[in-house]
Amino acid sequence: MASQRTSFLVLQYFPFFLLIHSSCGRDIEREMTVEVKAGTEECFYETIKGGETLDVEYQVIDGGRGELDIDFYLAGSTGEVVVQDLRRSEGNHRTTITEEGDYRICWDNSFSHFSTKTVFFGITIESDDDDDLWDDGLEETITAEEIYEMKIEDIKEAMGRIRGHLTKSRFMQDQLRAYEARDRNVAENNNAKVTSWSLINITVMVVTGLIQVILLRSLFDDKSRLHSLWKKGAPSTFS
Amino acid sequence: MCGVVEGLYFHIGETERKCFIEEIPDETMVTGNYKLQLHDPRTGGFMPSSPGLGMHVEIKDPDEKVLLSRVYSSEGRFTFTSHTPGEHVICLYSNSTKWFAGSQLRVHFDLQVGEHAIDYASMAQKEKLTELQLRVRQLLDQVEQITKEQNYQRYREERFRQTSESTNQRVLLWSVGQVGILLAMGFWQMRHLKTFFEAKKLRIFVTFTALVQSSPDRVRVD
Repeated sequence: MASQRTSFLVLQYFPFFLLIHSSCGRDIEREMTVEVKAGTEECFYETIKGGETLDVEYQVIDGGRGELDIDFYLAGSTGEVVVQDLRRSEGNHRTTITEEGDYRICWDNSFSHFSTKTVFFGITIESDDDDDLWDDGLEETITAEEIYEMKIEDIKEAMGRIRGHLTKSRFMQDQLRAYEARDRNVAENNNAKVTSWSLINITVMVVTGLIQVILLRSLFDDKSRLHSLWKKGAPSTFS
Repeated sequence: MCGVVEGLYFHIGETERKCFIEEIPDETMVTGNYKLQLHDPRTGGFMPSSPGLGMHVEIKDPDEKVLLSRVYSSEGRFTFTSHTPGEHVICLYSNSTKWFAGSQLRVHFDLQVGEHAIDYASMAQKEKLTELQLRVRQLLDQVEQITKEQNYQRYREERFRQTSESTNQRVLLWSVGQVGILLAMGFWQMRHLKTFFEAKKLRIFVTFTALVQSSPDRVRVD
């Protein structure tokens, strides 16, 4: 009985230390939103080891008054371009990196002269050895306490599955959020466009109406300043 | 949650500002780790550490109110918790006092939001959680974040719908207004010109404008 208790305690704390160590594993996931001003490019660098998989997915969520597109390229440490997208509004690239080095991930907005683009991107680096918090070496402790451990193992498995599903849900949520942000920005830009064009139209109509009346009056009004211009244009008709 | 400061980096000028946008629900924690390196002209690379430099971190909430505006040392971390849902802007720039572009700076940056921002290793140590308890806690945090994001999604969708309806209304208003303005313009022009031509005693035009305004008693035949 006592041995059971002690080995149970060992089980409790032994993986704990593994946990501290393996939480520094290399499955990196980043999501950021940046603004790329017109005529510029924004570059980010990532240090990647050989054998790791780089997954970049991006979406243009705001294009100001312009289109929702941008140039994208992924370049290696020597400067050679690995992947390139031209004038795309969203993209997803997954490459397995063979050469170790600092890889450059760039979004280029130089083709646009006025619109600032907002890009939402996610970078995921998966290493071959899945050294994640969830896959730590719990298997080594299964040898002791068979029945108890089997039950714990089932619970842990179920929790692992839940974790996987929840991570997927979070990922989908972020994706949907990016799409919604994009659509909302388009709607807001449309609203702004409708307002500004309406005002311009009113001004143009009123000004045109006034000019029409002024011109017509000047045709027949001897006192008007423009009358002399008309006279010069058609000297025989008026006198 | 450790050792990731050496991951993503980018270059900025000494006087340049780089901003990141984070759209987050309320009561969400955001943590940023950064490291600043100054360009070393002697080697052409970057100095491993630059203690003299500082990083100015400025965080604005969706209402353009400044949440955090502090100068930190060249390597460090900052944390903030959002109180209103929406687009928060996190800006980084060095506290260099130069007036025009100085040398290049390399900024290592890592931004984590919500449940990714929580340091489980230290939490486990502090609260003395067993491994099972820690995993359950992680799942709980994840689910909580999902719920927060869903609520925020509902709020965003409402705003989106309001914008669309407002646009719709404005388009309709403008179409009707446009017709109204044109008609009013036309009437005013005709009336104005009629009085003008009457004053000028130009019969033909008086007739024309009278006809248009359908007042046949003014028609004179000479």
